[in-house]
Amino acid sequence: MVSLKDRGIRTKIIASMVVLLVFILLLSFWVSYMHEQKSLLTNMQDNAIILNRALIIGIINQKSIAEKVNLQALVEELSLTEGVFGVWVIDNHSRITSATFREQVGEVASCRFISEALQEGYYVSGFDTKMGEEVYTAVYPLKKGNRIFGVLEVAFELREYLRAAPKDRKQLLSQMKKDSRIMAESLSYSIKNMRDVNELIHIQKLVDRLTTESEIISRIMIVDDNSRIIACNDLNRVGMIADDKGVRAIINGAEIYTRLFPRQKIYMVDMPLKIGDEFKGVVSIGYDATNYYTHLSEIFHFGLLISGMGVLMGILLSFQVANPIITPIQRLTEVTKKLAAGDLSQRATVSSKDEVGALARAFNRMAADLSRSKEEIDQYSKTLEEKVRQRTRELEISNQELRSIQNELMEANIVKSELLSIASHELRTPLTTLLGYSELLLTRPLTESQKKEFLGFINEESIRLSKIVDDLLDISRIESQQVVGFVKKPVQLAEVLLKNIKFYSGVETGHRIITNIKQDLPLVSADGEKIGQVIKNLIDNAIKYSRGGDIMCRASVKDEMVWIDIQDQGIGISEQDLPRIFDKFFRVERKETAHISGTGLGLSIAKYIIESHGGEIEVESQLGKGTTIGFGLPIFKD
Amino acid sequence: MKKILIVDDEEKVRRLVEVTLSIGKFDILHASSGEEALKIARESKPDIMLLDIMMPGKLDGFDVCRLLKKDPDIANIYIIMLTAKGQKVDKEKGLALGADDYFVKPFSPMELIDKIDRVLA
Repeated sequence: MVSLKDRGIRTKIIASMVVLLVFILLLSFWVSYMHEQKSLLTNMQDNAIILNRALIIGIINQKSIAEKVNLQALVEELSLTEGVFGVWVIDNHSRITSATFREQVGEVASCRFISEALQEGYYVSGFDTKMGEEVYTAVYPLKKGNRIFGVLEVAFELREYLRAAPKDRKQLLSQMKKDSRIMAESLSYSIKNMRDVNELIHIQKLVDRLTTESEIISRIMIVDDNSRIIACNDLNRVGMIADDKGVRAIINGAEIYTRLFPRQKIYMVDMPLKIGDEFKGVVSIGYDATNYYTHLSEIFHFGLLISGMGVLMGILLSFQVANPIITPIQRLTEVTKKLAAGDLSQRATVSSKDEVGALARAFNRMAADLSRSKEEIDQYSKTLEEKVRQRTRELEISNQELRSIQNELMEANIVKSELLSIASHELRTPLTTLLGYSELLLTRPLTESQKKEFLGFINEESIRLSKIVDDLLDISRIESQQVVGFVKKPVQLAEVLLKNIKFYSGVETGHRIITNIKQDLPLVSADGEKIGQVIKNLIDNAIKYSRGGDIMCRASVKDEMVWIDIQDQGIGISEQDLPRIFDKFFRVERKETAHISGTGLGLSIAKYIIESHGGEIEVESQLGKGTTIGFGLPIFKD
Repeated sequence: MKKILIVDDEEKVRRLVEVTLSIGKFDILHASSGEEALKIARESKPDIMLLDIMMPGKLDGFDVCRLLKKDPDIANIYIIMLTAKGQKVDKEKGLALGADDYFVKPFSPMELIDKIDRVLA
């Protein structure tokens, strides 16, 4: 059984309608079936009552069937006597009442002795043929008073008689005569109390006729008030005691008792046999119920057919009923699914005015609200995205700025470390000399020339130390962005140049310093001392980076500026180093420069000083040929 | 006679060490660059090498120290770094490369000679 829980509403509606319809149909069918059954049974019962009445009328003249000795039983008992072929009791109309051969009961006896015995009232006996056999038959009239109401015929077998010798035959014959007489007498004595044997015969005849002629009666049994079967369609049962429920019920006082035997298809009706108010016995009638069962089965099949049609109709009807409800709901469900999937343009198309229609309209309103909200959200998120993008851009820019600041800071930090490292080295070297030689001077016995030499070393290194300290201080000021205290005055640069060149005149450098100074150079506004420092720096470099050769110092006017150029014939600067020579601490490191000491600060200080005067500094160099460094200062104007 | 090799690019410093050590009986050798120092070390197999770090040329004092300790012939030379590089990392680096001692400039000539006396004792 499939659970309805899992099914759609359509299935549920259909199922419930089908169940309902089938239930109604089955109910009506059952009602009609019961009704039909009842009417059929009533019909048969009515028939039984009518038949019962007919039987009663048929046997109404009997005074008391209850007292009847069962003649047939007696006859059959007598038949068992040895040598007896058959026994017959025949009424005064030559009709066989009881017989050894039951099938002959009711027939007209054909024995030629009977009429004689009946008419004359004699005992008649003689040879005869019965059923193709030679017999000796004896017929005795049965009398009640003087009235002859029947005869008894006893037939003896003749086989022994025929086999016997003739002298014995006579004795056998007399023996048979004697036997037959004894039988007839005992029988007639037994039936003396009978009112009328004929009547019994009539009942059995009636029963036989009814059962054979009627199509609907298949059994009839008549029982006396002692439950003995008087007449029955089954002759074998006559004389027996009936012991079925119906008979017992009627004897116990019931008016009617009915039963159905479905296997034999028989409807049994038991009723009392009453003459007047006197209870005489029981009439038990079995109706052939074949028709009844056939009819019922037809009704049953018809009912099945109707139910089947009902199921079919129920399904069709359910579809008719369910579709108008379910189809819009299904459509709504489809639309809802699409909507849930993100298609907000979906609308339900249900136009009915019922609850489903209301649902659809509510749904559409909801969808519209959703769609509007989504648009708003989209719009908002677009704005938000734009804002985020813009902010991101801003952040990126400031990040870049920060990064470049960081880089600068890192560079500055590296520069600082470098400065420390170089400064440490540059300071320690002269200090070593100072400390070492002074210690020697103090602790060792030295010759005068040694003392002089060592003091000379100390002096040189002190000057060097002093210069390094100056440079470091300058650069420190530049680093900390302090304006170096310039004392600007109108100055003749040629004079400054010459003054500084003079400084080298007493020093053996191995170089020749040549000057080329233009006449009447205009003045410039400058701090003469600082500019002198620059010039000295440049000449120092020229000396340091060239081994001999001339150093040309020129002064000229170019582009509204007074230019000083210092040209050497030294090692020159490579192209890759050229852009870096003004960087702080930059020193050209080559094999040839290995012995040259310095802070790497001179040119960067020079550049700073010149640029602070609004001037320019330039360098030209060719590797191996020499370098020219020149600076120009603006012409002084009043 | 014990041989001492002085390696320094500053002539004044070499002279200072030479004078300092002149009171002992040492054979003093000079080198003004890393390359020269290695060359003389291989030729003369000095007992002690006084080695500057910051020197012009391809090899600095650290390089010389490393190469010296790699060469089994001259690996046993007692190396005293004599340098202006006074930072802790420099000293650690020098000792890690195999230097036996580390003197920072400016140094006391008396301390230096004491050290050399102890080494050669």
